[in-house]
Amino acid sequence: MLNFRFEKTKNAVFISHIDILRSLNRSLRRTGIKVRYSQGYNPHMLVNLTQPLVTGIKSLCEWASIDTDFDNEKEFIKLYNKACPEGLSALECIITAEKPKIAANVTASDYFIECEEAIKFREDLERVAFEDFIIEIERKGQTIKKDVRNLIHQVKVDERGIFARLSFGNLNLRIDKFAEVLNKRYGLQIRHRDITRQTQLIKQNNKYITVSQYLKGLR
Amino acid sequence: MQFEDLLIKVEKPARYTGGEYNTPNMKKPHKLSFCICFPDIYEVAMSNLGIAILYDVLNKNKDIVAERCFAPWTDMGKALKENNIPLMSIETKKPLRDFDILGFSLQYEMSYTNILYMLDQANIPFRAKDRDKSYPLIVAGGPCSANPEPIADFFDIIFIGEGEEADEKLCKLVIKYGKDKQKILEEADKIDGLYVPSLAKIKDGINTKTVKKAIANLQKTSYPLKPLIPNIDIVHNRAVIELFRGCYAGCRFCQACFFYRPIRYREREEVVEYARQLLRNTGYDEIGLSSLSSGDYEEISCTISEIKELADSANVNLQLPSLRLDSFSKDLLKSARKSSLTFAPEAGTQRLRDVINKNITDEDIERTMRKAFEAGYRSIKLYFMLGLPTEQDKDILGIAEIARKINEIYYEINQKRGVRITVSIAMFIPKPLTPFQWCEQISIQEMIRRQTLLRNELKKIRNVQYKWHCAETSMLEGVFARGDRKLSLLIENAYKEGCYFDGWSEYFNFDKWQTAIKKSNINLDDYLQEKEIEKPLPWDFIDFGIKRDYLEKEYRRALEGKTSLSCKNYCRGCGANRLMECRRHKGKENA
Repeated sequence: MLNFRFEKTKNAVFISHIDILRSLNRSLRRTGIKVRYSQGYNPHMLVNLTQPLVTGIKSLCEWASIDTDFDNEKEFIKLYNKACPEGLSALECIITAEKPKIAANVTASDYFIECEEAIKFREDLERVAFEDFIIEIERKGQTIKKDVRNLIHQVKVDERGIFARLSFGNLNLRIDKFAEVLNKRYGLQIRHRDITRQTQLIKQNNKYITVSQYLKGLR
Repeated sequence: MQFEDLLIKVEKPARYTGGEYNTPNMKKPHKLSFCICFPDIYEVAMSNLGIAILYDVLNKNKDIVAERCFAPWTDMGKALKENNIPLMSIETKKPLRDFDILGFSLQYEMSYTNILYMLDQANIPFRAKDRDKSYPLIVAGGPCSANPEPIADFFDIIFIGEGEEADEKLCKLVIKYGKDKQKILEEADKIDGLYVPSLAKIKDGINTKTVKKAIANLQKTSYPLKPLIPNIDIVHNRAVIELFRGCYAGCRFCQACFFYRPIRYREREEVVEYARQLLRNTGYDEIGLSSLSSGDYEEISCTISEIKELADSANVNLQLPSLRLDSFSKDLLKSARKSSLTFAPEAGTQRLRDVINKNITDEDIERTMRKAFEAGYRSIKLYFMLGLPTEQDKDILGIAEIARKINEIYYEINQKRGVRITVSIAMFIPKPLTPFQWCEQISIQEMIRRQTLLRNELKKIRNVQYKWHCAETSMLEGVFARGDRKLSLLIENAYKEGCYFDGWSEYFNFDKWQTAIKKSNINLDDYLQEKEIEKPLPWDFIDFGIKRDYLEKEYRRALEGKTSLSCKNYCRGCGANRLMECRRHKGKENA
């Protein structure tokens, strides 16, 4: 099983999850690497992606797993990056003996929010995980209020901006919703393009490890 | 708010961002900047082969950088206006006003208001006479150039015919004369295929100065083998190989058939090589063949087999051309992915099919359907027209009869599962450069009566889905198709009333159009009624190659219910080969 981490930057941040999957399929076909297909009525390439990211947000840690016998990690990155559109380059490749369950195991994600103003509210911001944190969600035409403090694991602030570790996966706090509350509460002006997802994390033995570390353990 | 911030607020932001795979180098040193403008949204524009061809041809020229700009969807249009952001190119986000040339694609009469919408968004005056030399040269081309008069006042130059070579000739002039617009127009007026409306000689409202249609030499012009690969789903999301241009069939209602004559071919070896390269360069999971009638391509079976082999080895689906199913082997049919089969009898009875020269018989339909159902197809799309010349109610009921028969054939072959038959109805619109260019177009009330008659009949047949075109839109399309210069006022007034995206049913507003019609003081019946053969037509000034008396002769044969053979069997001397050698005549003596 070949797993690779790719960025979602530049114009690619505006491509939706389903279109990323389609684009990835095309890039893989252009590499000439043989990938296995499903055997159904409409055969499709056996590719798995991690959970969708909010459109408009940059990422350095999207993961894809593909079912192939291709076994050269460095060569894959070279071939793939020649064949992919801008903003979707592969950054790391790890071949594992078995099929990993990345999407099922990921429980959190680290984000960096570029915001120099945030330092003024450092104390307050670093405490947000311990107080009420109400987000508003639109559901069936109604606005629902929800306290999500248990989905905020860590917030750190420095001169450059805010580092936030939020739940991601089955329990999920959307980073744009998180930023929306900060904007309202502290008068910040965080835009989608100021946010970058840095890592996806898996909890093992009560400790967070990166997807990369998890995959290396399956080599 | 900046443009980047608008992107997260609108639907499908990737329509506006670019960054597609195979984007050429936009930073190369160049002498001329060209923006290809398409008056509809990204998904429609990017499905257009003509746009892909021109983008490729222009960007391969060392002196030119060509970018794209498509009509922003209504949400983005409003956001741009509210934030005073002028319409920009997709690639480098350059405002349209800063280009040397803006080239609009004229695909459909109902997109004319969208041309004004795009100019408005770009803060550019609509009429050529109101634009001084500080504005880009604004040109247009495409199938609607068969009669460019209704939009002539908006453009500096209109390409008549195919743009591949004419576009580059104009670019050379602009590089040579820079901002001297008048000189450019005077020189362009001397080039075949370039029509300069401001230099036309108008007599009794009709231009009398001949302009010759431009025809591309397919052997000499390049083909986009590294097309842009959209980052979002578009209407036709597949690699496309153009087999040939022109059509042998000669259906009397079909403008494309006559507009794209003479017939020019790509040889089989070239087609297969294109398929090989497209599969490698695009990564698409589907490849299709493009032409007006792929079934008429010489050696279609072996071409398909060779491409199928390449496609299979790359796990790519080959979309089979529908009409000639009987020319494919059973194995090939069985292994094809069966989405749905499209078939266009166009008329419900043999008599009317003879009038329009659609050489399909009831037996052809039955045989094809039988073969399709045996191969496993379960979804059939049928295309017909209502309002054809000499049409009677029994011809309309004949459409239902065909659907009924197909249903029966299906159940003879497959009794376990249901079939889906879609009957799609367009209204007949007499188009310039066809033998029916003199015909009457039926009124809105009559269109609705005939549509209702058919709908009520189809309701009695199970598994049939009925789709029809809006009568009001069809009427306006007919007005603009055969219109004259007076109609530019109507287009302008309609846009001012708020009409745009008129080809989209959710945005088409006939009440606003009616207000615009009143304000423009135009009698639409003048454009819809039957035309006297002796009188000049607004597009008579264009030399399409096709002779007027040939069209007249075909019109008379239609009224007598006589068919004409396909060009494959017999050359009827339409005249198209006066402009360039026709495939029909290659290596043969003229008939």
